[in-house]
Amino acid sequence: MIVQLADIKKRLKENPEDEDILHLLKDLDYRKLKGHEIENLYRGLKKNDYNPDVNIAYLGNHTIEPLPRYVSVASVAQGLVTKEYVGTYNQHFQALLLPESDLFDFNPDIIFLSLTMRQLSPKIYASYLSLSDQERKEELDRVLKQFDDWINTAEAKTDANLIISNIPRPIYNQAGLADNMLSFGEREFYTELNSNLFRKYKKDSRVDIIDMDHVLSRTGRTGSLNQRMYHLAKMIWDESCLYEIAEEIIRHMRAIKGIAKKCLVLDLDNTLWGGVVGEEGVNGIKIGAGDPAGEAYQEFQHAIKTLKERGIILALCSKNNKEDVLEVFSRREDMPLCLDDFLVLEVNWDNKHENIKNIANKLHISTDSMVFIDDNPAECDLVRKMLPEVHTIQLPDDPAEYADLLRKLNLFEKSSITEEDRNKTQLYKQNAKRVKIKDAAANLEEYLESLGTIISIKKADHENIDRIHQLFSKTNQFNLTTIRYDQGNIIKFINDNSINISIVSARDNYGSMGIIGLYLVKTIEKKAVIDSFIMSCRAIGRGIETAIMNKIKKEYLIKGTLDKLEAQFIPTRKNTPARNYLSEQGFTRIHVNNNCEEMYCLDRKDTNLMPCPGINIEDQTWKETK
Amino acid sequence: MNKRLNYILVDILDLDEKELLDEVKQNTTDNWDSMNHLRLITAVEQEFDIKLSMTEIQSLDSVGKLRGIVKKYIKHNECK
Repeated sequence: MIVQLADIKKRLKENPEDEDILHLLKDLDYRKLKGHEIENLYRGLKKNDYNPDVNIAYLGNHTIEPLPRYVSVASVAQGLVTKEYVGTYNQHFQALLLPESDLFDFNPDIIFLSLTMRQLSPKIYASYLSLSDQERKEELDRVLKQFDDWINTAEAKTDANLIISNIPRPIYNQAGLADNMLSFGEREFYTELNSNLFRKYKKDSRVDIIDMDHVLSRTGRTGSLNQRMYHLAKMIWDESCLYEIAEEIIRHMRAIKGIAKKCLVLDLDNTLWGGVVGEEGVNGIKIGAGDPAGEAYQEFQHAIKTLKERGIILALCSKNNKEDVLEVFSRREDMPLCLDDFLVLEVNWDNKHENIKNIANKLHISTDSMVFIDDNPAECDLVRKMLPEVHTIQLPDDPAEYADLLRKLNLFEKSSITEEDRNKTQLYKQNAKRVKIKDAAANLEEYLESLGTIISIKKADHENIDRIHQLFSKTNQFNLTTIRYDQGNIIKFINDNSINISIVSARDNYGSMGIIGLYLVKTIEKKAVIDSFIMSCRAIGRGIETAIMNKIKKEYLIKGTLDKLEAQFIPTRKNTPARNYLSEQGFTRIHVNNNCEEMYCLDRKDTNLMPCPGINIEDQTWKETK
Repeated sequence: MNKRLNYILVDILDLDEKELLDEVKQNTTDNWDSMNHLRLITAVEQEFDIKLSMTEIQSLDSVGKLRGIVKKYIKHNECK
């Protein structure tokens, strides 16, 4: 379904309040829009005060417009509303340092910084050959220091995540070919500068460096850097590369906001291999080396496997005879993917949308965190219609395009890959074993004892920031308040002595589960307030949540000196599993406000520890076993 | 040509097609600021596959002049 731009424009003009416009935009092929259409849509959208998902500020030492408009329109088309602040030309320090700067009122979630060498060091930019090696190195240090100073200031003065563009290399070297022979050549200068930036901020979870050369290479670097527009208006990028830069910023935005999809559901025939196994037979389908199509499918499978290694769950949804499919996986040796890579197999003749729902139920995830890929337009249409929240992708005709199509997707972006991500499929499989044991056990108590669960609770430190950010941003079900803190907040919590942010790891006879939960307790005078309490859904229902609360009770009320513990339950569409948790733990509900947010309280004198059979708590010094 | 040009002008300057007379000047049109001026040029260049020089870009200050320059380039391209 292709939405007409004219229709959207008309509706924006007539009734900008119309919320449907946001939905219509999702079906718009925004990459086809021209610059003036972007401008017009942007202006139309800004007439309405949509509630922003992300506040993003743009600062730089060149004219950044019209990039923010591209980001804005492209992100609305992907379901994300942004609000932007565009700093004055070359005022990136002032925006942070002047007390009257309106950047602070804007309160950015993200600041994007782009600097050009023309301004940073005109000497390097224009007269590299007239400098001595000594001077070149001094300039390198000076430029790096400018980045560092800006980043340090931004980290101190704001809570924002910082997205920093590195510096693209000039398209031609000033020394020409002879640059290779210089003792400190221009190419070396830029390589050194950029790798220094990467190295320095690799561990800083608030800073993301964009490799701008890499981004611009997607459309071609020569066309990306526009001399004429720089002389006319101090713009450095050509219009033709703005979608790529915008797309890259949106990737970071998704990672920072933690809105990555969790599960990829795949069809089989003409998706993972060429041909229909039911007709062409196990040996007739095309997969693997020796045949161009077979190689393309193989490459696609490699790309899928990579996603699995990034922590994306894979599932199969195919209309086929299960025996045929099992045979393909056991007999075709040139398949990068094996059956073990998939957590759920729905191979049958039922409707695909029903099967996708089954997969979601089996994995305890919601359908809006799923991506479905199929080559058949009818299947895709039906899933789109029945489950619009699933991101459905119809494959193009040529399998040669499959792998890049997947690599280009920004739906699975995360800022980092944690230990838990790498072992995700494994973790789910262990869980499936636990469920089997549970079904076989005589009663719940016997089952819990047989698991031999050991948990460890410790104060969070900087090493855990990535995993903590994941838990805050992605846990929906067992989450009392669903407050989505970002990396900046988390660092503050860890550094603040009046705040206790603790993480819980668990393991049992079936293996280590990694970090499965956290709590955030603030002490305010004579009471402690549980601001957040989060558990990963694969750990709930076995008493771990009770053991954790017992620990909190001990720390604050039994051994501690506080009078009471307060907690809150903020209901969402998804967190019913946590609904009765606080009353089960002995808290009393004291207030419900107009938004149905429930306040709970537990007095020191009423405090009892609750039984949690089969759970052993290890000392805080326990190190996670890998 | 005029229709394609008008489509761009309407988008960027937020005017009605009827208002797009040759006399419309940059300094009397609200949305015709320096940023939109460049947007206009880029859009026209893309649409007609032409390239204006910096001097031309700076001297353009009315709808009439823009039409003239686009016409000149199109003619030039046809001759080639």
